[in-house]
Amino acid sequence: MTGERVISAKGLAKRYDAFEAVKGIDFEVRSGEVFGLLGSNGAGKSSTMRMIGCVSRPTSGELRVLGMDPVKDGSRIRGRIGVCPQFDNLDPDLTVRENLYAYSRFFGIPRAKGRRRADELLEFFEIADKAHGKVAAMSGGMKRRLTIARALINNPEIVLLDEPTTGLDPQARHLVWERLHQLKRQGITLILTTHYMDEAEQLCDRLVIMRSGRFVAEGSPASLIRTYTQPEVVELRFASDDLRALAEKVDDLGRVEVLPDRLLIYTDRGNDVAARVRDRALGPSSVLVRRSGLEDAFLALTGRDAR
Amino acid sequence: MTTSSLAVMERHLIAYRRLWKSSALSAVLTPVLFMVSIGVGVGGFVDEVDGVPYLAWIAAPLLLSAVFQQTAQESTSRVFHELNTTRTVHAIVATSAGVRDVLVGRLLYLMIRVQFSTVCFLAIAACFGAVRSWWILAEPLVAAAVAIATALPLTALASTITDDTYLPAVSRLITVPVVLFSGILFPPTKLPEWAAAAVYASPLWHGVDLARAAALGQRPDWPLWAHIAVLGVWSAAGYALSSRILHRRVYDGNS
Repeated sequence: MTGERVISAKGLAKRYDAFEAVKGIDFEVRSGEVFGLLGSNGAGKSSTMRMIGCVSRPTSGELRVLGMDPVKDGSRIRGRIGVCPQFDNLDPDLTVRENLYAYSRFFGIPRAKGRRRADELLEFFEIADKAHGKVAAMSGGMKRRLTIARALINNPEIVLLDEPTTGLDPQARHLVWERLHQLKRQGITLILTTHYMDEAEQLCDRLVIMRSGRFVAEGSPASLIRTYTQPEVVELRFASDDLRALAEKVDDLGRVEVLPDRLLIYTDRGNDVAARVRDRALGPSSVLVRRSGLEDAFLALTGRDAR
Repeated sequence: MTTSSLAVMERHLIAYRRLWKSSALSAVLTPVLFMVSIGVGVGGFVDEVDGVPYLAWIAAPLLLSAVFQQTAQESTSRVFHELNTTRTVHAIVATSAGVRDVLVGRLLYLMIRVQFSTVCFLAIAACFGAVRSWWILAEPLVAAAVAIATALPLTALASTITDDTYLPAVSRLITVPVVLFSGILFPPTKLPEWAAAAVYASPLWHGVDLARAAALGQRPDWPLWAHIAVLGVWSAAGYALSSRILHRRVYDGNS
């Protein structure tokens, strides 16, 4: 976190008629950082991203992006950032390469440079063989890569990625992650929203968890795990459906979380707890001891919303 | 006009490159077919209007009707799909380009198409003896003015629509009636007074009166300044409205 401050928000809020999507959030992002916004659907992640991307006017609060005011300098800021929206909005009337080329022109990039940049990005995202095909003929993963490639056409200083891998198969996700890691190594500031805890854990230096328009936690993935969960989790599955009754029989062993299909017991001594569960002859169909992850911290913080 | 507006025009031209042959052919052929069938066929019964053969009387106005329909198509269903289906407008306004560039870029693109069909049609109409004055050289300007005065208000209207079941209504309740009652095939003076007033409000009629006057070398029914004023009001109001509505839709009111 040594880079200069590229985004800062104070009391940032967004209201749509009667609905308050973002209820006053404060944060800073420094250059070169990968900053994640986590939260359930409707938590306010996309609204926050749209305000940073200068396509949505904050209702109140202060927001600075690259030292400028998004309301007054929207066009200038947009010229220096890249946006990969939640839903692909590629141009179906253009070929894959033309999508990148035409987009470069919207930033005022000269023709020859736009073509060169388009070709570089097609190579970088491994879609060069589709260059002259139609967007409609591409798979979901390729369309996503093309949308991210398009977000990079203007060599942006900040890239906003709204759920970059939602709906992709595992191979496609890993390819996107690998490319995002490369961008990070190039020093580009990335801001991403995601539902996937493994994605956030892999990519983000720092993240915030949003719930109903507010931040409920902030920190590095490791610090969030440390703060909000015990180091280990014992996962219990039962043949019985009455998990609540079973939870009462183990709630002295640690903090118990009841999920639809299993019980989680958070503890710092997983094997001990697992042994004590076995001693009680509750007949679990499986007992698994594992290390806590970001998902556990997320469930602890937003668990009630998710169900 | 900024470089971003030109970039939006370029985007439309790149997409149009793939369909221009069929599209340009129909843009020229449609008014020619109307001119031949109505001009020659109906003209056989009508004989002359104000001392001018019927075919010559309707030729230049028919071109304006084609320009109007071409523009209406581009400004309604196309705008609707770019806002609601493909959402490519949202992609454009996330760049240095803004709402103004989306509007101006599309107008520039329309100008190119409209000028092309105007020149082609007039060349054919001249062969039918429908061009009788050098004033015809002003016709591309008239076509451009009608295209702008049509495109912007219809863009504003289309930008308010979020459900595509309303699109056919726009065509049936606005585009088609305007074409039928804009003094193209008969003068609005043949209509009851209240209906004539509606005709005089439409941007198409003002283009039709000017185009006919230019093709025939006659004085238009209304003075030139009045035509310019009406077309100007439609254009200015259309720009202000479409810009406002689009800003609200794509920027939540941001600049």
